[in-house]
Amino acid sequence: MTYNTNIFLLIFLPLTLLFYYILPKKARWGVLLTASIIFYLSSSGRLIAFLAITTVAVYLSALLMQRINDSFKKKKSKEGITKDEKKQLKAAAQRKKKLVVLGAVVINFGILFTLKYFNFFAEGINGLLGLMNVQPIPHIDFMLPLGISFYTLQAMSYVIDVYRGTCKADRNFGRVALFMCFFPQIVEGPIGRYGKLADQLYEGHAFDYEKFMHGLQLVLWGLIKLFVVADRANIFVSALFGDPSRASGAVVVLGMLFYTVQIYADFSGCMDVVTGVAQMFGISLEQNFARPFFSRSVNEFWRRWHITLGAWLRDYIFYPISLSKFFAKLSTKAKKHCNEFFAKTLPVAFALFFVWFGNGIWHGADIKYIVYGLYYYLIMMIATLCKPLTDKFINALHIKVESKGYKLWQMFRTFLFVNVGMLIFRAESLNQAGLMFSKIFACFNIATLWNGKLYSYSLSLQDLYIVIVFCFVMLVVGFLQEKGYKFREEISKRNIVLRWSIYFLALFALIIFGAYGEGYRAADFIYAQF
Amino acid sequence: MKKNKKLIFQRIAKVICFLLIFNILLAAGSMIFVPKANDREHGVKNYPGEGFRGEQSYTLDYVAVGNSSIYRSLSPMEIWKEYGYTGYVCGEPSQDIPSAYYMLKEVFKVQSPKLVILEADEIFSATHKKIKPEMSQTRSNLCYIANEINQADTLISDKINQAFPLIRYHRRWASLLPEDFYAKPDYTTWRNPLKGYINTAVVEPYRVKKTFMQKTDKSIPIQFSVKCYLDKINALCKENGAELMLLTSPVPRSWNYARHNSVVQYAEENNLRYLDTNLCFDQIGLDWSKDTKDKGLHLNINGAKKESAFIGKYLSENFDFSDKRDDSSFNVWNEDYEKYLLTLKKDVEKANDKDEKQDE
Repeated sequence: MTYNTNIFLLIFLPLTLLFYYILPKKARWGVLLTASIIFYLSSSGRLIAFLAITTVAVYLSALLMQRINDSFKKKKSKEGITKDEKKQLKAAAQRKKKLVVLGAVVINFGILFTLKYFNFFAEGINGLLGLMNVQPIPHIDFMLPLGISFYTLQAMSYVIDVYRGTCKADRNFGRVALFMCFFPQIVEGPIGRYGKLADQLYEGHAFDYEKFMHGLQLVLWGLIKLFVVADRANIFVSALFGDPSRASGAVVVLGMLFYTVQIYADFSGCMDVVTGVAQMFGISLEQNFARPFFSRSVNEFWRRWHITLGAWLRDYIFYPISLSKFFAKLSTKAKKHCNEFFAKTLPVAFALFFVWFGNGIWHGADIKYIVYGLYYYLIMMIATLCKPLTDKFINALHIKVESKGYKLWQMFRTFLFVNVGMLIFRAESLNQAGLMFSKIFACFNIATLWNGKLYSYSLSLQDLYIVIVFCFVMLVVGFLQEKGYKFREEISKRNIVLRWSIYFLALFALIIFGAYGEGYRAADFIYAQF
Repeated sequence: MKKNKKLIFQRIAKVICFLLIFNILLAAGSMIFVPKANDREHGVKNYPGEGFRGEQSYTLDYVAVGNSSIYRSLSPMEIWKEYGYTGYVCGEPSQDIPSAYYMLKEVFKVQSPKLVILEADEIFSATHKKIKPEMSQTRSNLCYIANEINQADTLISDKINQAFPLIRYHRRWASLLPEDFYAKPDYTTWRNPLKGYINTAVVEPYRVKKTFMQKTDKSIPIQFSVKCYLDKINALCKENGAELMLLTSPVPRSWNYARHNSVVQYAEENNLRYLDTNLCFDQIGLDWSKDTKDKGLHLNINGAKKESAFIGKYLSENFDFSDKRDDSSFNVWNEDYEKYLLTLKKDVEKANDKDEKQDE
């Protein structure tokens, strides 16, 4: 069962909503937990055991850390205790907590590593073993539990937050379990934080007509993105990337653009659906997309695209590395012996490497994902290292960086970089990505866009028109949202005729132009595979 | 409190009104989008399988339902030529059992066949899916419940498609004709001379593995929902005075003995005939170096002729259908047979041309 299936939208969701709102407020979290377990079982069956292990592990480790904290506080507050003794107690408590966190990391990332990356690393090791004539590690076909990459990060954020003291350990197992498996976000996120989400999920929300309708509207908008844009673009993208050998450079560029559109419509559409569904229960999920194609730099793009993953990597990888004692010392030394710019950049460069390596490999056990992550690392590092130079250049040419033209240029440049990244991301392998790149420069042949060659990639003129028209609609919506226009609020202020006309228009756009039913195969959610 | 109640009623009334208007619009849209004739030009995607509507009412001796395995292997016109039995293959690409049930419901509205042949390969359609991404793999292959849910989802889709043809035929938006806005559907305009069989002369040889159809006691459980719909099909056939027979066409690439055992068990439990042609390759005379179009997944014209001859013989030995070749009211079938031959001839020529070009 996925979010875009009839059974979810017409049976599962309405029934869950019905039970949620007819039961007393105190019992409503139970409805969500039960629905989430059913949802998970319906997709992953027995693999729910892995989710259960992770949930129990984080629940117990958080409690253990809380106990260590409490005992430390108790001992600390005893009368007659010296400052040194307090320091020693603190250090001992810290050591114990570190051990607990380490245990949680080993269990949770251990499961993720084994199920998702075992074969990838085994293949690498087998290469070496082959040289030494040693028996290779066998390939094991593991089944991946639904959403494992997402819920593992969510679980770890809870444990680390408790370790850091930014969040208290929860004694209520039901609340922790619900935080871990809440059905709208288990498949593709957004990756939630305990402090912001757990209480919201646990408290029973009263029915709020406005919120409910806003949620419903968001679901409809998300479904339009998924069915009309993503699934339609997928027809051409799958055909092209399935066999790019006969494609011209122009077709490759079109395919690259289509894939960027597809992945955006797919992921952000799914986020709209899940955020809308959560809103129907009165729950606000974290924003995962903020009109990324209006970004003026790659850095900004990643603050607007998959925001919760970026935030997770920032809080749990970037800061701990860049603010570590080692780098503080190194930075001070660099300041003394080199210059301030270098001293500032060094820890950032080092920490960012791990962030982007992590970002890449999180997406999948394949070298192309690592290259994809490091591609962004390279762009960001070049931008950072060249900043003094580019600043000088801009000043010398008297370019107004806040002018519309320059902003547009920056957005276009970022869009280009992102598209190249998407080509690496979508290609079956690095070799294929290389082949496709080479075609752009070696045999562009723009005539292939209108001489009928496109039809051989299952792309009809109608498909092309629909994708273009709806991309334009998404662009206009995004542009107005950038300007602060709040669509749902504005629509709800209009008279009933206009309001309902908009709803019917959206509904029939979905029904008529959606790529579903006979002759179409709904693509799997792209991010659900990671 | 009173104000609150009023607001609640107002909102409920609004929702009801909205749904009502939505339904009316859907119904109106359905009238426009539904194809006005039963051929390809009018937007019927599965026009070969649904072409039974073009046959004269209540003239078919047998109909067959199933997925591509049946419409690539059973050619009713071959049986007509030899025995004079009238039949139609109401197949559908990737058809599943619930879809077969709905197809048969439509068939029984205009025909009264004495025999319904159900291609048993589609009983396992839920386990056919070759899905690469990990998530789908877990979803579709790992657990019984996931398959059940997929099946239920398909069922809901079928129901919605039937209730609102706009949803089923939505992709016709680009090919709507002025007549779509005023004409009434008439599905008797086009006769399919191939009677649901889909021909191809392409040859892609296959070497049948030695382990194929190796005996085993194992069986593959039939999904609960699939079983329910098999029972419904059986009941529907009985209700309409037709016998249900299970058949497995030659599919050495995907069929196996465990599946065979499951079908045998179901057939025995329900007192149905079951013919598994995967056990009779020699009797049929199949030559997998010439008779398959795609390496053992489907038969080509050569294979379908042999398979149809085998099925025709089986029908003549086990059923009491009359020979209608000399019946003047069935002259149109003889005309259809000529057209059928012409279609096959063209297809063979096309395949030969292609071969020659490749040779060059």
